[in-house]
Amino acid sequence: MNLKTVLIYAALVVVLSLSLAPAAADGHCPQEGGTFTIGVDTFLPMDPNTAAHDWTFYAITNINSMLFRIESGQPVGDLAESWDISEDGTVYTWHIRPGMMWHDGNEIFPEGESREVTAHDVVYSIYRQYDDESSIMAADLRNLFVSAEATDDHTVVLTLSGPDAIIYDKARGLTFTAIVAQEAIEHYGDDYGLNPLGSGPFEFVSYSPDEEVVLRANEDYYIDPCLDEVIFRVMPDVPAAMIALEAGDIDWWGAVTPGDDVGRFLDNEDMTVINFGCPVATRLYMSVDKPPFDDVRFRKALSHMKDGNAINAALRGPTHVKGAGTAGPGVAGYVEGLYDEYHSYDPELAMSLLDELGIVDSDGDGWREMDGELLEIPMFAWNSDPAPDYVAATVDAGAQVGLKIRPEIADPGTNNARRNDGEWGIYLGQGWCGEGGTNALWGRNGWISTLGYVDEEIFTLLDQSAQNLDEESREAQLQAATTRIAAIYFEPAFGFFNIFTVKNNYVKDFFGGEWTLNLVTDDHNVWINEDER
Amino acid sequence: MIPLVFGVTTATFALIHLIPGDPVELMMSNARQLTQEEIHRIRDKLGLNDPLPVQYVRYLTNLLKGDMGISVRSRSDVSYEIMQRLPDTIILTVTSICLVLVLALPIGIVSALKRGTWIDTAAMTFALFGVSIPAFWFGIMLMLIFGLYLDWLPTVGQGKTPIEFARSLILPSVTLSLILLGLVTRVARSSMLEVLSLDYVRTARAKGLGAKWVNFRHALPNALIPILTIVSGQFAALLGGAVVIEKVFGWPGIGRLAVDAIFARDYLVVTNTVLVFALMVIVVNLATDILYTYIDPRIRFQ
Repeated sequence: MNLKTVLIYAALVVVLSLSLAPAAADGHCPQEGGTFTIGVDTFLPMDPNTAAHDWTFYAITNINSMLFRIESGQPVGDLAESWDISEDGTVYTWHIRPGMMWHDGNEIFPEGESREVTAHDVVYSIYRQYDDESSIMAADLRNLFVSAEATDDHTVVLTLSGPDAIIYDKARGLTFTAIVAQEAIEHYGDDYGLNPLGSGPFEFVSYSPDEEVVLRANEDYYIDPCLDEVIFRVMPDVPAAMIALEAGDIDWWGAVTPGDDVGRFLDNEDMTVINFGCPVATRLYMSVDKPPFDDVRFRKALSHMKDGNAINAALRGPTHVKGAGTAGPGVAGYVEGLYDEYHSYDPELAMSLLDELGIVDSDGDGWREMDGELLEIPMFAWNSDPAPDYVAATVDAGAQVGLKIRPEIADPGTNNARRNDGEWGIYLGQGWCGEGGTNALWGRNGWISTLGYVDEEIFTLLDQSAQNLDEESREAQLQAATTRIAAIYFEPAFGFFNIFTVKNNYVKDFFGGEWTLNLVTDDHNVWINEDER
Repeated sequence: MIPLVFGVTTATFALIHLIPGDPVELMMSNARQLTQEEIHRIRDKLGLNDPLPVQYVRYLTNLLKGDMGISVRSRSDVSYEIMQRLPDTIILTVTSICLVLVLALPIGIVSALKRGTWIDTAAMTFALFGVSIPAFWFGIMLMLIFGLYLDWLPTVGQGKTPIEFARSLILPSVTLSLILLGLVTRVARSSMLEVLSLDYVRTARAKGLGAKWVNFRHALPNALIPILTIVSGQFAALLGGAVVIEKVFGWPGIGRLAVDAIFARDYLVVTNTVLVFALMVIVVNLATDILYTYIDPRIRFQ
């Protein structure tokens, strides 16, 4: 073989190896090792029964295996390799992946003395959540739950009393059920959250409250993680966190990024802005069982007196999305055109509606009266940005039509307490994205039911949709609920805002945008390009 | 001390319960919404449905046994939560006080000795800046300059090795020291000026003693008393400042713990952190009293 042939072969090998450079998720990592530092604004102990916090769950879902994970809105296997659902949607048969081992080298399982994760562990974990009435197991799942049974070491049968179309939904399904080891729970007791033990892609190393959580790669996981280490760094001050992100002291800001920073990072070629794909609505609620809010014409007047879309665009910047309703674009139940139909800016119409109601300025002082008394409406909101700005804009809009609105800004606890007491006034509110969010707000015993939002037809539509396995008709039911909510309650809307997170570009194969943080799955294996860092 | 502890715990316990808001609802609001029935069930389990006097007596009884209770927010021992963070707050506060003394004392003294010169004007301008600049803003600026643009120091968090730890301590402690820097500089200057004008200093000079000997051996010890009083008196202010600085720099201290607990209505964490703050102030005041006797032996006999 002459030199030329050798060179041609060598070149071919190089080209071939480059072109076939596999995705990290194929088990091959373009670059192994490194630490992925995730910035979050708060963090709690990691017991899946009590960790009612998204960022804490980011760690739990990497320490503990889940039955399944969500990617692009669809469930993908994790501890469960596959599953079958009975035709009536009430029996789920989960097939557990063989060979999944609990993390070792700890107080429970010394090095090399671990055991396999079995169907019995899954059953134990489900019952641990179900039996603990103060756990965060979703009420809908709890109400439908009949039994969980291990028919053999690798098969779990979950029986529900009725079909549940949203078992994969964050707020209502199984996504908070991480699989734990009974030995660890019994050993640590209430301190389990400080010493979590699982079978996921990363092992727990240390937890320093309000500082950081350190995880290291679990080499026994069925996929080899590309990363050596994951650190969750607690950074409660968002402006400082944004500086740390730019300085590379954190690699990904896992919490919500403010609109101004999103705009800045969109122009930064070293950063990637990731959309969670689940817009959140900002709107006004009010005590609809008390006058004058009980009259739909008054609610219409409140809606038309302000330019909600312009206010939202100004306050949310590049995260703004025009729209109204209980669900935003891309979420089940979204109805296009609701904003223009119900909430368009029309101060003339607002004034005529108020006149029609007899809410007029009879003494000529520029403010309207009701029953001869000055109508001064408190507007309640929490004290973090941009909530006070929405209040200021609404107060201004009210002044334009002669309606006196008094700002009442308080911390979230005080604000929630007022709403729970059904205090008379207007409340600034935000939705929760996803079907579970719609239900949590508008469903039976929903978040705002104390303000008088009670409608049997809406409850029925939401109940029916939750148990409807046919996607098309379920969507129709949710849209019907959304439309009815808009028509009868006429909730003054501002618009939606997208939730964005931001990462440095040297973080590769990162799949953000779901509620469980999937660092290592069949399709994704996050790695750090140290050359670009 | 016992009446003080009792007073602090009673007042804090009562005040935190006066603020509207439900800890369970706030705790769960990030995950999903609960029905009123679910909230009641969880409150029951955590003992929050008991009447306030019952809760308070239970708290005091447990405290006497060394049990600070369980945090509603994290569901872990309050004593664990506090002990995890207390050393970090002490390190940050003590470092800041050291920085204040190292910087403010010489500047104040030199300013007094060079009264009316450009050095005095510069020093007082520096002190004015120290008093006027908000610490959190100063912290962000330091972070931008030394963390982002120059890339000399870490912006947030704590380093693990001693060197990394020291590096990570620089920005928060410099920022925190700003709270006292201006004040102590001004007090050091005025205190030194006052002592320098006293008869015994004039006598010492008249006897032909050197300027250095007069200023540092005779005047300075007496000038230190008011400075020490100010520094120890401002210790509580520094702890209060640490709350903000800990938040900005992601420093895991008990100030942050207290603020987060107030917003989460985590009653036992709030009451116990305030108790710890009060104890720290008492200890510092005691230490100050002891220090007085070393600086001015006359105080020992009085």
